[in-house]
Amino acid sequence: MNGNSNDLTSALANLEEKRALEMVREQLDSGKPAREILSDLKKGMDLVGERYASREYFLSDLVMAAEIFKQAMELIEPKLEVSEERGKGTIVIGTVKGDLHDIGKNIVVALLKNDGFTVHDLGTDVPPEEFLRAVKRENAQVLGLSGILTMAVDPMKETVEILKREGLRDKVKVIIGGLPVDEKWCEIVGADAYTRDAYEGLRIIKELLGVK
Amino acid sequence: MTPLERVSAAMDLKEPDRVPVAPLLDTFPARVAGVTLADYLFDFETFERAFEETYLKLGKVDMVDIAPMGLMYYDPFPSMFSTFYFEWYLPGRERPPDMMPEINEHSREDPLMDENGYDLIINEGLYRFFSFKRGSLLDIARIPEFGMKSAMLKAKWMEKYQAPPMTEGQIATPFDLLNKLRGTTNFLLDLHRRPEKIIEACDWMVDGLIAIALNMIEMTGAEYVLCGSGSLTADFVSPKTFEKFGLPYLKKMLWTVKDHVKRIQCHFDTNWTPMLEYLRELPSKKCYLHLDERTDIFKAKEILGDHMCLFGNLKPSLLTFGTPNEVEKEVKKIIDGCADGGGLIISAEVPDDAKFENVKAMVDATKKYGVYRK
Repeated sequence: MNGNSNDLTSALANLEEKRALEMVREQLDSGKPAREILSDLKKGMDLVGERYASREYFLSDLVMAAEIFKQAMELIEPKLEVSEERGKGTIVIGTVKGDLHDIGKNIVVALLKNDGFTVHDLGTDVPPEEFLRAVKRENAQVLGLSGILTMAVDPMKETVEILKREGLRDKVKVIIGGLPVDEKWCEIVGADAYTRDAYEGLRIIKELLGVK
Repeated sequence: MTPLERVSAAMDLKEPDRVPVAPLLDTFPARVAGVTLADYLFDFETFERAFEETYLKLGKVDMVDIAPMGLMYYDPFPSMFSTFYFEWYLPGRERPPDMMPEINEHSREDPLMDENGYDLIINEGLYRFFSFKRGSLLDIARIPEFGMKSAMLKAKWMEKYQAPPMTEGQIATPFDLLNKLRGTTNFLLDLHRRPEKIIEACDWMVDGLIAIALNMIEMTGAEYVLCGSGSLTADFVSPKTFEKFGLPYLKKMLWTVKDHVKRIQCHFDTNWTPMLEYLRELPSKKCYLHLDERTDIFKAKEILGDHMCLFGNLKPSLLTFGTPNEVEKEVKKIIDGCADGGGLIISAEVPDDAKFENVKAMVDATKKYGVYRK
């Protein structure tokens, strides 16, 4: 079975994991350029986003889509030219110290990669110093701090303060994400923006960086 | 009216003298009384003193959560957060005496139950996932002592203040328990990857979990129980998914348990707004519905107002970060929209670091704005 482009797009959009990954492998084997495969996957992720916006899809569907996309990216990433698809900006992201929740963060990572950002995902339970080191090392323009526990507010705040102490606060935009965050949190933490929704997060990051 | 009469009227969807107020105080009284969490959770005298001090300082509330979290950890029955499954990090033991207790949440890569667990449950039973690490066998031996003291405390409280307890025991649904054992990400992926296994396991589990619940009710004499659910709501899945994987089991459990207790708190966290219509299928009046701020309580009033009492839904973070003024405004808003005809109790889960004046404002505002005119 040799599916065409639209089939891969719809396989991802319809969350058919096995079929979508099979098609990616087949197309890579048949010599199709990685960036064309990525472009089909992007269309699929866009459809997923539309269905999420119209309340046809819910979080579990986003998690599944992100999972398929992640596995597909592992297959095609080695064959992608860095410059051609990773030029939009550099983002360091992670779940803050003391918190292990990563569902939302992982979706954001998939969406950002899908959109052409370079993403350094530090995982969960990340101490402020590690965020600082990664921001320095990667010369990141955006730092995403994720957390779902109410006590995550403290490590978020500490992370912003450590950036200030190191004179980096003006060089990096900080966005916080998670179920409990709101304007008050944003203010207390000293972040530039907050979001409770992965797609909104993507939109805000683009705005912060002034890219489309 | 006594608190018990007030609460009962509200739950029977009649207008009491005023809207009852019943914050879920959790560990907050330890902070008010200035005792360590270790003592608060595991020493009954300290717990009682701290709780009573807070209760009186707040100017009395209408329902009390006098089953402390210590009991939740010791949970003698394998319900949702039981020591039977989960490893707890406790203040005064694995953690400093004043740190919050925490469950060891397994990572996605290392879940308590892997994807083959559904078959294990179906073929061998839930006990396959009991874990007795860390000397918890000794703790389990203390369960009868905890149960007895807890029952004494409830009797004393009812006599002295006529305030009923919120919960004396917990009921776990099959799908929420599977979500906990698998971890949320794995469970959400399983809904796509192996839906038939989930249904098969839930079908198998539901009667066992009902038996566990009835056994708990009989042994402890619990009259007020809690059924916590929140893993198949609009924050995670579609209403159709809830209808298939959640609703049948929730119905079966609650319709069976209701004949053995006075009230069931449906402690339904996260966003139930699109699922509210389904909740008309749960037992009316016997069940009351705890909602957090993720669910639209005004919509709930519209859909369920003639079916079950609403309990909520002040935003917990408001109690930590807000001001008494803001709290008062929010309470008034909920009362204005939902108090009509009875069927409303003002509540919120009080965070450990809430400001006392905010919690007090919540109680005072309910007493101020919640009066029903004859």
